[in-house]
Amino acid sequence: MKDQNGEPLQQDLTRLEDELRELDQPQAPADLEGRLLAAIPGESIRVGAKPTRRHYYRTIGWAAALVIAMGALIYYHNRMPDSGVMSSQPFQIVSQTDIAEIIQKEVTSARLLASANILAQQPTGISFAQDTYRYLIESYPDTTAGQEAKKLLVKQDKEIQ
Amino acid sequence: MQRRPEKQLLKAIRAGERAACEKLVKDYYQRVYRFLVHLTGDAGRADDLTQETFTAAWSSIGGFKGRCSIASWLHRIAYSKFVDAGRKSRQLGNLQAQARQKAPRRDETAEPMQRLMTEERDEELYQALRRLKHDDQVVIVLHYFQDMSYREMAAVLGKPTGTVKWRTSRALKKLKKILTQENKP
Repeated sequence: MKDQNGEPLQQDLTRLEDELRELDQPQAPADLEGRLLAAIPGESIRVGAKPTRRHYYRTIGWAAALVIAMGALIYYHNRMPDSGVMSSQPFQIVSQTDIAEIIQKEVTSARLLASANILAQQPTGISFAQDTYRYLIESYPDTTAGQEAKKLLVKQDKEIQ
Repeated sequence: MQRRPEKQLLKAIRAGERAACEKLVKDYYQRVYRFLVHLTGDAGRADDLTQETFTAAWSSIGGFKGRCSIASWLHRIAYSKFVDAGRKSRQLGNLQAQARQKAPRRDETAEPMQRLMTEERDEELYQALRRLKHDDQVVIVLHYFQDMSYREMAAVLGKPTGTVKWRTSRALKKLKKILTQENKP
């Protein structure tokens, strides 16, 4: 019996499945069990989890990933300014006016530093430049230019000595 | 997925306990042999391949992760042994004669006429099975003769479960078609 598509009917297939399950199966020869038991390698089977090549690759992979992760963690931790303090203190809310003031300070101090650097290159301008550096250190200590001026002043003092 | 007794058995085997190794042989050798008889169609070759399968199993049991059942793992080894052997002597030959050596699953007290009809039907089924392609034959053997689930079959054949299910259904339909053609006058 077939359905409209020419396929066997489901009930016929179910009957066939039952027949297959009921089919008599061949049995192993009587002496096979004895031969298989005799072939058991005994103590030498105690291999544990013998590491395969894939095992080694996986271990190396995990170790490399761990090293990279640790390295990245240390790198970013060191780069983060004053990381210990930042992590313990809450964020400060900065107003727009404060931001504008910070930018203005950075711009002014950068201009002064640039002028001082030009003066420092002139034979007679070193003392003027050092005065400007000192002014920058006093007036703009938190700016990038103020910190740079500090370094330059120390460097020039060493050169003079 | 492994059941607890299987894990314990594996642990004992890896610890070198002979009794555990013997249990593995006793529990599985019949199934492995039967599978190989159906694949090769030759009792002698099935015998040799069963021994090769267990030899390979002992040497690779350390690397067995236990992601599938022991039965699936052994069938997989047996199947690869069969494939390695070049799929020679595929004829199912005297399978029906071999089947008569077994402990019968059917009622031996049945009427002689009925028994004769049953044997004829068995022969007919084996003949039809012989005419199937290898891929179709193996799924029929695993599912209906070895009582394996589709998931276990997938582990043996290294194919997705859905593919195995579809192949089994297709193989069954082909088998039915062969039987229908044979019965046509």
